[in-house]
Amino acid sequence: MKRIFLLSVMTFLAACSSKKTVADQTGTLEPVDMSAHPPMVRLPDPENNAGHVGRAPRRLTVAQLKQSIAVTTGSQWSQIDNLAASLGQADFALTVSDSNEANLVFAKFLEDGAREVCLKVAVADLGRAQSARVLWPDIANTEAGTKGNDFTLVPDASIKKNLSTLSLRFWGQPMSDGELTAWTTTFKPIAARAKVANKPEQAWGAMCIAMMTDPRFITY
Amino acid sequence: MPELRRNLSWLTALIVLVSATTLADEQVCGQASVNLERRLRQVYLDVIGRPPTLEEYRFIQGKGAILPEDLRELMGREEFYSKIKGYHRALLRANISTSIYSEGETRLVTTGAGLQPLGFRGLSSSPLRGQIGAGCDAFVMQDDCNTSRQDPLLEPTTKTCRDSAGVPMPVSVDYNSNNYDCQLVTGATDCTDAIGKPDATGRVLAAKHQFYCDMRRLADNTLKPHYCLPDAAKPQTAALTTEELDANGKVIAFSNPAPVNGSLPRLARCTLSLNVDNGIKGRYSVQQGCIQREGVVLTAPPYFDVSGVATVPMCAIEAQVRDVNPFTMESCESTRFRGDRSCGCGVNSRRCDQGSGVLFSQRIAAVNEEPLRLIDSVIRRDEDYFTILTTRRSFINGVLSQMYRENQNNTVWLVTPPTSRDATPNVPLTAPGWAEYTRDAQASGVLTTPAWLYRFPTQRSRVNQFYGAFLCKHFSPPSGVDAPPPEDSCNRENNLAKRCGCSYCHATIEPTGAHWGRYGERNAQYLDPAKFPKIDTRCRDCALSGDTTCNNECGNYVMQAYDGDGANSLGELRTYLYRTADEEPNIVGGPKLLVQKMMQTGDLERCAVGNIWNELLGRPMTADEQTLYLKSLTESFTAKNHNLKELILDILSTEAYRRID
Repeated sequence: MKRIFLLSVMTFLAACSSKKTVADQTGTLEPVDMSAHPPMVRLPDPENNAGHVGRAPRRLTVAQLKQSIAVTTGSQWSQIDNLAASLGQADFALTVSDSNEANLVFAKFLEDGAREVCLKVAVADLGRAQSARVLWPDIANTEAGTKGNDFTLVPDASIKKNLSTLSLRFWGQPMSDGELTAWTTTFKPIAARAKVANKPEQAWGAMCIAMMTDPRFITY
Repeated sequence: MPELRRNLSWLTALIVLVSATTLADEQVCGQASVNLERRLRQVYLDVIGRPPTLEEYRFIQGKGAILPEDLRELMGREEFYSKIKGYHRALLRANISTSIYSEGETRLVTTGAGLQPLGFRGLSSSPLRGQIGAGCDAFVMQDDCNTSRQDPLLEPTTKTCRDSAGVPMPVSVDYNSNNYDCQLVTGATDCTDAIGKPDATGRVLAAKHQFYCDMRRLADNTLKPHYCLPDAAKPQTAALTTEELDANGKVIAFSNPAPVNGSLPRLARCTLSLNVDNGIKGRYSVQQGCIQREGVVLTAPPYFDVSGVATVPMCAIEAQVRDVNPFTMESCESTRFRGDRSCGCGVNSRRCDQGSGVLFSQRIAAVNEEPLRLIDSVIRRDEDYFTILTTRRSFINGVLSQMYRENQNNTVWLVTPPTSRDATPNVPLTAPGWAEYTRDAQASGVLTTPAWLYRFPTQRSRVNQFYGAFLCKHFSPPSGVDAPPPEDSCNRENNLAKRCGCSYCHATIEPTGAHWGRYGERNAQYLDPAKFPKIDTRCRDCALSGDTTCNNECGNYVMQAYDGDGANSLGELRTYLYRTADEEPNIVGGPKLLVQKMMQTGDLERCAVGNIWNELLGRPMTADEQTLYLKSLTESFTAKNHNLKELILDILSTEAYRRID
């Protein structure tokens, strides 16, 4: 029994340490009978494939970015067509392939775009019913003061719920608990500053900018 | 203890099972498959070009998985077809905006002056009127040319409005400021009044220079006398210091007393008379140093005028509709019409273009769009993907329909209509939408569209693009070989398929390029065998007699010999030069034959699989992946009638797509 246990543990460790699939380990052990288990899909060895085994993560193309902004915020960046060539869009006459490079030019322009779009949407949200809001759909008016725009009063649970919704909407990836706590901690002083400046739209507008300039938004 | 052992054995089995499952489904020590929401976003961005909405995320979260039917549903959306068009735009590099040459020489523009006639204002004005940008006289009707006189001293008592064939003659004249220094004579109302008065620079208009007084229009369109003398500040005219007098002692020309080779020897005073080139009647040219303007006529509106007016004012030269010069019978259907005073823009100004350039841009956009529409139709109808390379079907909108049917702007757009006029759908110029139609038998999918032919302007570039886009092969010499030194005699071989150093690639490129041998280079013309036979005896006779231009009608034929093959090919269609008997069927079969050959190799299928893989995974297949996936994906693609949607579905379903590097 000890021998079986030892061999099993070795199998488990060897699989990870050698970065190979179980299917590549045939003939080295007396394996447990797995005939009833569904067939396993063979994967290429990353070491023989320049580290590849799946999709290459990449930056959104300009066309995808334009669509993403529209779908995510319901608004559009007014300069995206003017800046398309600088952002990497090919015209197929002089430039024959789209650039997916996440360079500083792209980051700088996208930040400009995020500021424009997010603050525009946040201002519009101030006048919308809760169900129609883009940036704080999970916060009831009653939770944000008498005018519904004092986000310093919003309970942590609602902030986290809203951040979770936004992260799904912007990134397709709900935040983990730890990240939710961190972002909630970040949100609170921003909401306080927005209140002092009497610009309540900046509270969730800032979160929107942060999410739109996050690598999880611009890559996939 | 036995119970502990039994439990331990279960635990051991569980560890092995879990480790195996984990390795297969979740992790290969660093590379992880993505979560459901992230994968949904990835699929949406790859398949329809946008991320999911919140509702779409929630829907899939509720289902717990992305199923094949979800992917099929996505591939039925308009967004998918739009994404696929974008993919093929990149594959075909479908943008001819820098491939077609036009400086606006055929554009009809108007000015706010006088009758506001349409006319040329660019380079074409130079041979017709004497100066680039010069318009006609917008204040005189051509056929009433004697009702007003701009320069009584320069014009005859009775002006000739048209010559014997009806070609419009000049109705007014001005000295050209490129040669003359013309200054306003202050305080004078006309040229008779101006004699003895100073101009703006203090020159007094002498009586002997009365023919050099020019009534010119100021910015407010009023006529004022100007004193014009050869410009002393310009090298060409500064030496014209000798005055030639007529019997009355009036200066009629300035000449150079010591002309040297290349200098201007003489400038005669301006009149309304035109020069006749080489004494050939009908070949008019403008007097040097003069701007000779014809008048205005009212004519049918140009084809691009959709306002519904019955007539529009147009410069009399441009308003003509002849197909040939009435004296020399030279054709007006080539770029020479722009310099031939007797041609004009044709019926409804078909040879000319809209002045704003909007229509030109619309034509470019339509040509770019045509192959994408063709591909869209194949994919939308779930047809064999490679139909895009062979089908005769295509699509046409108003801009293209009218261009093909009416032969519009045919000196800029050197495009052979894809089928006869009657078989071309008659779509009004401004009508929205596209109509499907069938092109003539030689058509071969996207490979014979103007977009392809203009974008890849030579036979060699067409081969190169075909190999790159559809066979995933690229031409480059074998590694480690060196080009022979320049002094090596093998460099003198004219046939690139044989020339040392070049033959590595051109032994393939040249015979393959012959598939486009019946398509012109730097244009989109089909060289119909009925009009362009393999051997043209007239071109051969011209070539043998040393007339290599043959009245500009043998541009597609071998007219000069640089070697023995060239000497044997004089008078042959150029594409036949250096082609062997085995390769000549390529010319006859066209691109369609090339596609048929390549289908037999399987390269087209493998490349299509590789291209879609690259598009979805963002990188090419690795060697291991080719072993794992390429064969099965290609076989599946073939078995499913080369259905592109099924191929996309297959690749989306691979383990590789589910994981992220």
